[in-house]
Amino acid sequence: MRALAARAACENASHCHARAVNSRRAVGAGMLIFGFSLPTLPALALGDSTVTLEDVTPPVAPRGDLPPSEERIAKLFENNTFSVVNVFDTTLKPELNLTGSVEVPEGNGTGIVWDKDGHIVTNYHVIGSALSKGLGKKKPVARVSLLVEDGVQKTFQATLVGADKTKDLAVLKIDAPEALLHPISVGKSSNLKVGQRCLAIGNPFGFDHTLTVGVVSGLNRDINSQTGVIIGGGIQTDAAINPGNSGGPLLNSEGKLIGINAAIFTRTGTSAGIGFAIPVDAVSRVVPQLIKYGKIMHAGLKIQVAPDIVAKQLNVKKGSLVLSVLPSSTAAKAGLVATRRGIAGNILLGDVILAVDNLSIKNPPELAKALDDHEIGDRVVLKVQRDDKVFDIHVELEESLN
Amino acid sequence: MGHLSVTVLAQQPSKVAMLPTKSGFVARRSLLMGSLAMLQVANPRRALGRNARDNHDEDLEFEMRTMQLFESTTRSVVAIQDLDLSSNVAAVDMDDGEIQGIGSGFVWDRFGHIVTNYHVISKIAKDTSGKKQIKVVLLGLNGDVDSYNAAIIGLDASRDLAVLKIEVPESSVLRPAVIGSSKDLRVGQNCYAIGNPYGYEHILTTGVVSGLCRQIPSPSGKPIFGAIQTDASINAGNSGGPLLDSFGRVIGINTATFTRRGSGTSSGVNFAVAIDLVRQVVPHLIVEGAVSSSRSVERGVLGPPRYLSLP
Repeated sequence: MRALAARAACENASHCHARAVNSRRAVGAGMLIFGFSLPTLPALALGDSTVTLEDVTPPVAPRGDLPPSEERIAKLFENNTFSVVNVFDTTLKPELNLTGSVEVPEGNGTGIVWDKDGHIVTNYHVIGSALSKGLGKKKPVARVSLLVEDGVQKTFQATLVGADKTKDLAVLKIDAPEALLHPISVGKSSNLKVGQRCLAIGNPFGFDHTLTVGVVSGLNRDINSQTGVIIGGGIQTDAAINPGNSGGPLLNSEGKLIGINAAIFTRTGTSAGIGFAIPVDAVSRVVPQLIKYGKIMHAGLKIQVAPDIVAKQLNVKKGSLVLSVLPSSTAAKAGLVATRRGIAGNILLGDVILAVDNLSIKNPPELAKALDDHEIGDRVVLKVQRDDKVFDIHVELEESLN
Repeated sequence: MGHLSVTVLAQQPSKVAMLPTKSGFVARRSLLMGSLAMLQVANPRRALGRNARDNHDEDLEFEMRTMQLFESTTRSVVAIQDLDLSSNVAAVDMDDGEIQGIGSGFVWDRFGHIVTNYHVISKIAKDTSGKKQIKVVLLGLNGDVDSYNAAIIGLDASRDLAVLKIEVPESSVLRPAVIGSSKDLRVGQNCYAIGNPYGYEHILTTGVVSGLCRQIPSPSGKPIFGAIQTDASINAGNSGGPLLDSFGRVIGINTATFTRRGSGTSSGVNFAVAIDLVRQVVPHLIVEGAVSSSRSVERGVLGPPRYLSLP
């Protein structure tokens, strides 16, 4: 695990200047200093002739070592900041506002180094503009900046590997030397507790590698993602999350990834202390699929089931009525029977799926979710009603039809 | 040797217990205490393990430190107020005017110099009517709140700094702030922003150092380099006041918050001018009134570049 030997914090003006140029390009965009007024008059200030420079230069008080808790957080940041990258959607152009200063657009977001192959995980909406323009896989969609040394960033072209709107996640790939890639350490979100400390690292308003600290404020929240989809199981935090933090990591006090910051609840467009992260357990399931297939394969069966209205008309009150089964699918091979017409033109009902692995199914959405909770290739037991008989059918799951 | 296991149950008469030992039976009298049931268990604190106890002590220590820090810096943080006499034409006494709190500042030295942001007093600095007076309010020795007229000694719009001076009856009234250094700051360490908007009511916000070497605009339009970014809330009340570290040393001056145009509310992205820059500039502001050349001063204070040694 990478550690900083010493943090060169702003050693000289030119170094700071170079760093500022690398990281934050714009100084406009709504920055407010209280009482900001224009051209200035220093005329009144004539100085105090009763003192010398020495008199009024106070000594610098030394400090001891940082208290253990602060040292821990400082180290956590230093160890993990190299896994956090700046993601910039290349299809977005900076806009010049009226005062001539450049406004950094929202396409500026954060990403996480996932592995030594150069895969970068971020939110779908961070590169939403590029994705909506239909840029295909292997096309450059964004610029990714890696932190090389403290303050120095190196920029790479990133291509799209895969993205899923419903989970608001996307995977990019950069061609960077292994030595520069520091994959994040992945944790678990299933055992999170409200009140535990969490750290967010990101690029709010373009201020790169910003650390904010807070606690887990709530669990199992519904996130209204910018992609228009509701993502369940969200982690709520009061660590300040702002536009620009999207796609960045939420870490626990051991420096392990527990979530990916995705949304905030706000009336002003900036942090109000209510931020949401996609839980890492969901991310861990989705990212390998995005890397392997470029999309998420939802586990299911290649069948069509009757929507509620149709089922009601056909007098099926509980469960999911199978309307059609794709020939040569695993469902067909398992013997699942579809709805068909009889010789006399009457409708012969197909199988009604009542339960999946003993989990009772009331309607089609529940069936889809129950199957999606599995992996492709899993074998499940369907409790099926055919005519007036109820029995089990064993079937192997494959990619669902939609 | 006999194995003695005692389970003393409530409300049992004193008993002679016969316990087997290698050398024969040993009679023992066990004394009971009323309805008290005592079980031999391991010491509960030890059962929790050292870590739990240490963390608990650490939390307490943190709270104590925060409270102490607050108490010891209280007298160094002042309120800066704007006294407007123009509303009362017949005013003879300086105190007969409209007072408005405009920000905070802190005591720099025993000569009565007060440091704050330029933008806190810029309006008064440009006022030519002579009807505005800056007042500095601070906590006296015995908890009294005292108000003093302040004169503007030095201004630096390009670094958003200003120095005022007050005349006090005796220098023990003044408690200069302890000055620290910003060059060894680390992202993640705690910081505390203190303000005193009314003179007697301190406000404290806490957070961590979120970032270093940030560039922020100054009232003159030129950028200020090396600013400290923090998620401790910085607002009109503590603007001009000190940003402290856990040791109670001033590491910056609370200056700005990033806010969306029109909203005025803080976003958790806040900035302070670094103390190393302040410490280099303020003595010149005091003695000369203004800083002539900007670049030469900055190069002087921050030493030769130090690079990371990568493992």
